[in-house]
Amino acid sequence: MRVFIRKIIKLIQKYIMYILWYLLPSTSIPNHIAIIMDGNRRFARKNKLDDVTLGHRAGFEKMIDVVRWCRDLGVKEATVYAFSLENFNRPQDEVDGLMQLAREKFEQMLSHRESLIRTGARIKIIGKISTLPQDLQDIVERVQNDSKRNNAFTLNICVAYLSTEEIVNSINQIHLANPTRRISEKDISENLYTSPSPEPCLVIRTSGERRLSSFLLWQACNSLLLFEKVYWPDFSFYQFLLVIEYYHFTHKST
Amino acid sequence: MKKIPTHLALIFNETYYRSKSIAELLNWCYMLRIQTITLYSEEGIEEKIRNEILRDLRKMFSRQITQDGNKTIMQQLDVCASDMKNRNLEIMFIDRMNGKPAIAKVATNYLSNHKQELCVEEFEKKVFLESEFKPPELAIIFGPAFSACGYPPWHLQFTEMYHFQTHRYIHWRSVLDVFTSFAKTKQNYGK
Repeated sequence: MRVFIRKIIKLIQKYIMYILWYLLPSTSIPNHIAIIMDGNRRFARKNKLDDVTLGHRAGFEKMIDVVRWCRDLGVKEATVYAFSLENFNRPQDEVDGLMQLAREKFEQMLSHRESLIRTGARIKIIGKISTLPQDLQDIVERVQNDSKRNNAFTLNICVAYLSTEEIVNSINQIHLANPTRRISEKDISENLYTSPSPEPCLVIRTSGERRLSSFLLWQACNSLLLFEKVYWPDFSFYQFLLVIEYYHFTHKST
Repeated sequence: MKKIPTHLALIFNETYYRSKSIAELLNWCYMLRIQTITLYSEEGIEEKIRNEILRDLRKMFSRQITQDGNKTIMQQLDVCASDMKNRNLEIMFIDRMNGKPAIAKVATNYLSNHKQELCVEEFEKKVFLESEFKPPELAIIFGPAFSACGYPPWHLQFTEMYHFQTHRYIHWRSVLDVFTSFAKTKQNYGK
């Protein structure tokens, strides 16, 4: 019964998206949305869950929902901040739990009939992948290879990521290719992990924190920012619509 | 207040500047013991406006206690007139050229002298040294859109950001609310 109700809700949400898509002029829909999915641990504590990994699991499920909402609305690309290089400093149990979650969910993306990959999304996993366990690096490669021909929607998942590391890596790539070259702003942009994606139109951070925490510093320096107080797993469809409305009206007034 | 930023960034995303409002804002920041303020606008604030802001600020410094708003804010912050003396406020005007182009320039200069690969920590030191200012702990953005507008991106890693629709006729109470909210924040740097 619960599964049936959930399916009905998803269907209603999809139709609301279609109605919105027709009502709003196409220029008002952001092409690229970036999200800092913050507040999973606090969500777990608030709901008295035994293990913080359960909060991360709820966060992952929410990510899939939000990506589907984006895609249904006509957004072409989403970039999510899943795990930063600094998150390796968290307790070992939690890091192991997160790595296990990544393994499990990426495997699901590869095998599940209705997964994002099977429904036409291209998945790019960006960051310093060499810092991940070897088996996870292999899965990451398979996920990227399996989806590289998809072009309906692009999902960039930032794993072991720090924007400062991304910028330095870009500079090193340019220098390696041509050691005498004068480095320009354009060169750096073209060699970032996210290249050739457009800059995000909108950056959302949940949990009430009001900073970028080294997420897409280069790409988002002209993006519209939005800091939501809600914890990521609690981010609702209604709040997502408000975000789109916020973008629509700010975009119109600037 | 438990915590006051040492460096505040004021980012203007507006076409019109009201020098008196900006000077008032700087004056309140001075009372709050902020040491450095960067005033950023994508195209840069014109020389004429800069001079007007500094002139208005000097006027305010010379009659610090007489303004009603200032009296209230000083009482609120428990600051007395003698506290205000011998304190420096560094004001810097910057624009988009101090942002991404400056990072590219630092990279070119560094790699022309050093042949080995760059590392993040070393490059960060260079970026901060060349820019001549440290990252701001707090940024207040004025304008219709809440956007950093090209403010030096490397400096914004851990900056707390707040937004107002305009800088004109801003009330000191609103600014104080931002500082109170900032004072309550705790960053755990990914841990």
